[in-house]
Amino acid sequence: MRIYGYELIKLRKRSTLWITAMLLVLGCLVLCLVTMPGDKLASLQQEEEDFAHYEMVDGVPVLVIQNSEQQIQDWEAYRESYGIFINEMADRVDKMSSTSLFGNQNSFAYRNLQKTQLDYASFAGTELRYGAESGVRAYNDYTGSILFTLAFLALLMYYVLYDERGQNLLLLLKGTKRGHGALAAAKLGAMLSGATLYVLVQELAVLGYFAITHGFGDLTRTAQSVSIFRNCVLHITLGQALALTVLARIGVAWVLAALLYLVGTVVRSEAAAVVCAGGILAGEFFLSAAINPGSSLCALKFLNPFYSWKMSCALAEYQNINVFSFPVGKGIAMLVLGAACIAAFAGAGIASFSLRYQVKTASRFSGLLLWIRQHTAGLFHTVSLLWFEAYKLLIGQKKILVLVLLAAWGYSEVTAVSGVQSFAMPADAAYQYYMNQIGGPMTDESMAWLEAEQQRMADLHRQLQEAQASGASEVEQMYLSYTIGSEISLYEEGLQRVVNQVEWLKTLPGGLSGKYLVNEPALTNLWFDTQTDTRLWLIGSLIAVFLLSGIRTGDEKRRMTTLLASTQNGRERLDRARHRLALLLTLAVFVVSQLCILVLYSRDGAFGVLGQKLSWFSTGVFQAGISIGLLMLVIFLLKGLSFLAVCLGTEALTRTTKNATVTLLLGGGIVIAVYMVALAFHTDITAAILGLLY
Amino acid sequence: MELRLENITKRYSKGAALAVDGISYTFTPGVYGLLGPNGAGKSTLMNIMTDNLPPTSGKITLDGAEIGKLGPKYRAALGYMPQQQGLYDEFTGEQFLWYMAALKGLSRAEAKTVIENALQTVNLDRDRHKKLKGYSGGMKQRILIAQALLNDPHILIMDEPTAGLDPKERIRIRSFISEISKDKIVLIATHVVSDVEFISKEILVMNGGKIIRDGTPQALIQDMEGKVFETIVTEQEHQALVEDGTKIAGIALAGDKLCVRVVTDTPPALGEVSQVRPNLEDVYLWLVE
Repeated sequence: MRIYGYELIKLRKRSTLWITAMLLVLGCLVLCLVTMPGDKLASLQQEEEDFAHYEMVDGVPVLVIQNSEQQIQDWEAYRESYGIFINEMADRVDKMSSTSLFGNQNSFAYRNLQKTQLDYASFAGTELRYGAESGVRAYNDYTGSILFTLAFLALLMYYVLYDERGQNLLLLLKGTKRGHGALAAAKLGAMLSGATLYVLVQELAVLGYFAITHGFGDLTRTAQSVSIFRNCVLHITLGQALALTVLARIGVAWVLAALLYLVGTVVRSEAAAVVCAGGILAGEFFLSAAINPGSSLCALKFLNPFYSWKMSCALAEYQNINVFSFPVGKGIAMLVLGAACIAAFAGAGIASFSLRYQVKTASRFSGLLLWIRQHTAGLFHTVSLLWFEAYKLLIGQKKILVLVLLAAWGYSEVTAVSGVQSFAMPADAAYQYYMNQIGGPMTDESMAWLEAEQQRMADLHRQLQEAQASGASEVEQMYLSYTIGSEISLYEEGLQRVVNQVEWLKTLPGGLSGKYLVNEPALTNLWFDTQTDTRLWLIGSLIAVFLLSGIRTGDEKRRMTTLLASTQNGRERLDRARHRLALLLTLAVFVVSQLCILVLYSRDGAFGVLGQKLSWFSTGVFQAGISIGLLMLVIFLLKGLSFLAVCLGTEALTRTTKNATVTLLLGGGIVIAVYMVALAFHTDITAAILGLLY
Repeated sequence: MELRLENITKRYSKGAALAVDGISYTFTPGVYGLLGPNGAGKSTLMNIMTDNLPPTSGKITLDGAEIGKLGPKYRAALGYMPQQQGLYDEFTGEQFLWYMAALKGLSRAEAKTVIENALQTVNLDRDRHKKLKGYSGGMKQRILIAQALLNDPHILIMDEPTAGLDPKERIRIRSFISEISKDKIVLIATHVVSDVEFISKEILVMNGGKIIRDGTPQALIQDMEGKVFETIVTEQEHQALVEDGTKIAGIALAGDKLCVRVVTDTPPALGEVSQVRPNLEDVYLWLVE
């Protein structure tokens, strides 16, 4: 078998690489889900495509209209403008050519104008068709996938070069007949193959996600049917545009892989390589973001991996690069420069691999790390087994990255629920407004405020009647009807709900004391939102399984178990330390996963009405006399127990299987199965408890 | 102090051959060399002695108390150095020793002192802050020795302690073991006969799960007197010796002929034969092959 084949076999056997790759694809999809929630899902929630809704702005409901009719009108306008843009291109070019600025026939400006006219000439009469395009736009806007690709490529570089170098295997391999150029080329081939496979899987997954949640519409339409392709000079359909984008991204991944390969062969320390490659890429990112398209340095912006990753930038934006006063299409320039970069990086990388001593040596950076370790050695002058087990897991197995991701996930969930609230009906928005004002314990002050609001509403009605009865002009009457009427229609129903709720509470035994004005619809919606709860449980549990799967299995892998077990504390006490670590990590995951729920409870004022009995809900759906506080306590306790079950289950699996991958697959499988069952029955812990309290 | 093995057997699964076959032996303070080919049962015996593997039958007692019942108390008196293996790459040498000190139940103050001493003993003082993944094979071997010594063990069990060490380090470690063995039971399993030849109180030779011979190195060598010869032979004569099944302990060039060291009951019939002084390698070859 050729050396390249063996390099692929070696990669194939790296289970950590492929598990991480799968997690990266999953992470990429989660980022899609968070940053690009589907229009279809939104419309399903609203149960209609065209809707007006209310958003709370500074605590006051404001009407927002979203109407697809408007979108159709906008598209029609685009179609007309596209026709004008194409048909009048020749006239514009003629006029501009006659000016002194563009008149010199030997200048780039003149040639650029002529080329532009020529490039667009064939698009006269192009048929544009209206259709769903939200998926195309979302795919265009979602560029976060390049970060996941970079993460995978960095990992790939580690396994192709650094792992073998760290084990001094490159010395052995380089000592063979084909151990220089042929081996270096095979390693490059493995990197490019890995990059192709990963990008293909990732992009197909993302396209699949957008197809389901947004929709691409008719893919046989000309690409120019979607306005982001207005300046595209390729005769392609929308489907071909998507396919070309995937190919372009594979090309970008090849350039990045070749660059990392070069860095990997030149820089022998992983940490220094990360700094070096990170610096280059950060520079590229800065150039792509900071350079003005009209600047003389625009080539640095256009011929850039971060720029090329975006679909509209790669295919749709029209730009010509000035090459010795001759205009060269941006697409051609991208292809040529990309191929040249790959060839140059690959050639230099292969030469570097062959010529340089491929043994990890101490670098300045490693010297710095050593200095840091010398000065922080005191941290490890401890005999706490918990501390060492945490270090082994988080630093030794690099699972601290999972904790970072956990924090990022928690932050994104909290941010997602901390945004502007949206309501389908004005009454819902008004009700929320009143709850913000007087929700919580019922007091004389809050009741007085409510009476004042009722009085204000009565005054508005009176003003409206007076306006209609007065001899004002028709325009004035219309204006008053509109302003006062809209104020009444916005607030009245919501106010009435609050009043009804108060009246109901007054009928219950006892005075105002001990009674609370509860945001009943919000709390009920929160309690019965099984999707959010189960999703949070799923992600949290998978993170917990991933974290915990390494606690007991790392020693097996290193064959350290007999040595540890031969020590005084290497059995029961060590096991207790590991158990405590598992519990601590699970607690962290639990708290982070429930933060957004706590934020929602706080937003809906639940912490101010903990004493309210469920049976006092005006909707009358609950029969049980337990308080909201007790219910929340039970819910969180049971949720905590469910995470505890995940923790104990994962620990049992690690003890039984003694293998992290098997534990991860089995534990993850069980968690997903439980999630699917909960999803199928539309239930979760909260819904199950409430079912008992009906 | 007395560590007694009473009729220890170990069978890994039903129907499988006995990995350890009825071993009885009593260890008292001093160095013991455990020799035997791969698969002889040395590692199994050591795993049983470190309380990592329960025997199928028989028992091990320390001063009359069964080690399984002593549990942590037994392990507190034990220092174990396994064969070279994977370590925690992200730990520095010093961090690893602190971890092992925690496992051995030392207090922070005790650990601080013994770790300093251990690092100096194995000559890793200057490399204490380097990560273990950057350690050479010999350095890893030394850090494993260091961890075994942390709790000042009464029973020290070492598997191939000098593998991968350079001659200077090998001598240094060997001398150190000899020094500390006055009040300790030290059991060294090795393939390098010279490691135990000069420091062992007794040598145990294992094969097929049994101790096939034991005794002081001098006694074992004494038994071999008159059984080791050197003969100067041609290439063809050497070939004939090999085909006869003669146990050959070494070959060296002697001009255009070969000087062959053979271990045999009767002097070889080929070449210019002379009787030579036996050594422990000859004993091993004689007993094991």
